[in-house]
Amino acid sequence: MYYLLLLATLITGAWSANVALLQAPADAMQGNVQRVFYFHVPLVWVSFLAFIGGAVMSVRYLLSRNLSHDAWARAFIKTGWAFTTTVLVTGPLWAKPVWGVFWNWGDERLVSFFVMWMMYNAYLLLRATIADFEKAARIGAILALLALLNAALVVAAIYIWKTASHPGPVFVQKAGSGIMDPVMRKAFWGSFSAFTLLFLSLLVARFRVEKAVSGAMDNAN
Amino acid sequence: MQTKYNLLALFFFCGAALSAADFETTTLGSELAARTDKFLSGTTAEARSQIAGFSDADLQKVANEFKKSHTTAEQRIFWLSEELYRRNAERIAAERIRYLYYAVLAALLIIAGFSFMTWRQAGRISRSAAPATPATNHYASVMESAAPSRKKPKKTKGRSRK
Repeated sequence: MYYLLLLATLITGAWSANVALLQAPADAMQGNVQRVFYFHVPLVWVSFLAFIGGAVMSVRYLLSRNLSHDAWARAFIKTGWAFTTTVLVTGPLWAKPVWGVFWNWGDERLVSFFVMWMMYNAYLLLRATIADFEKAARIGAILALLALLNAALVVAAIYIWKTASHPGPVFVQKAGSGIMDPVMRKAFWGSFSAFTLLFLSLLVARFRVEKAVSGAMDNAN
Repeated sequence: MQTKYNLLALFFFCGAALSAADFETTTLGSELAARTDKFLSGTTAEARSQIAGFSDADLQKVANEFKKSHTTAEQRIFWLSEELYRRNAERIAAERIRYLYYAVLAALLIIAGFSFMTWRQAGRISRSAAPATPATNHYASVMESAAPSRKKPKKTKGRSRK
């Protein structure tokens, strides 16, 4: 079953990379660098998916104290951290040729996203440094919930502060903006599916590792 | 060099603005002529917003007709101006492709790095599966260290069998 998931990820990934990088037309205003959005936006989506999953599993762990739930939470958050890091690298690489700067500290969405990434860094540091495994799991679960609140702030930032750099969601803007070309839509949804599958593949692999760690800790106690 | 280009561009725009008043749009065909007249008579903001409405063929026709009404020397100044814009456009396009390449490369490297790390840890754990005495002191020790291997000492009975 897992190998089928990997195969589906590879096939969808190759197809969507072909459509996004070669077939889709270049954007009239931004040129070829707009193609970054075909993976930047899906990466943001899977990052949020990961952190929501991590928070849900953290709540389940706090209620049940079942280490398997904690293993799922760690798997979600570690995988999400990798994708969030990719978002933070690819975003500035798009911004430089379009905005003229890599980063804009005046944009609330960028800053709140960066804070969210720092909170997940804190989660990983905390899990790696507290020797008492159960204590680290409890504190980590609470931190994961707090980080999810910050993730909600990232989503709401464009509505609260009306950020200039992120004017609105891509698909619900007024007519004449957003992704309108059918091949562009195909490229976007192809990448969206590919990154979701990639995330699921990595999540399952990561869970196996985390479950083994939890098992070892459970035996040790 | 940049000042020279700017002066050329300024010269081109001033010349174009002065000579636009004499530009006959009637040879463009009624529909394109009407649009061109509207483009010429509108405010700067209106004119800019109408640029995208001209197709490649329209632009070619307008440019050809405009150039015909000028002397050879003026037309060569237009060439320089066109060259300036062509080089700028090429430079910007190359820069955008370069950043797209960096972004794709960075995404691949980060995700591949994370996948490799997960795969390596999974391999170590499967090799050290179900140890008789699991590591108890630290989380990292389970992740990083391989299972202890015991080599059986050779039974030499005090001398070589060779």
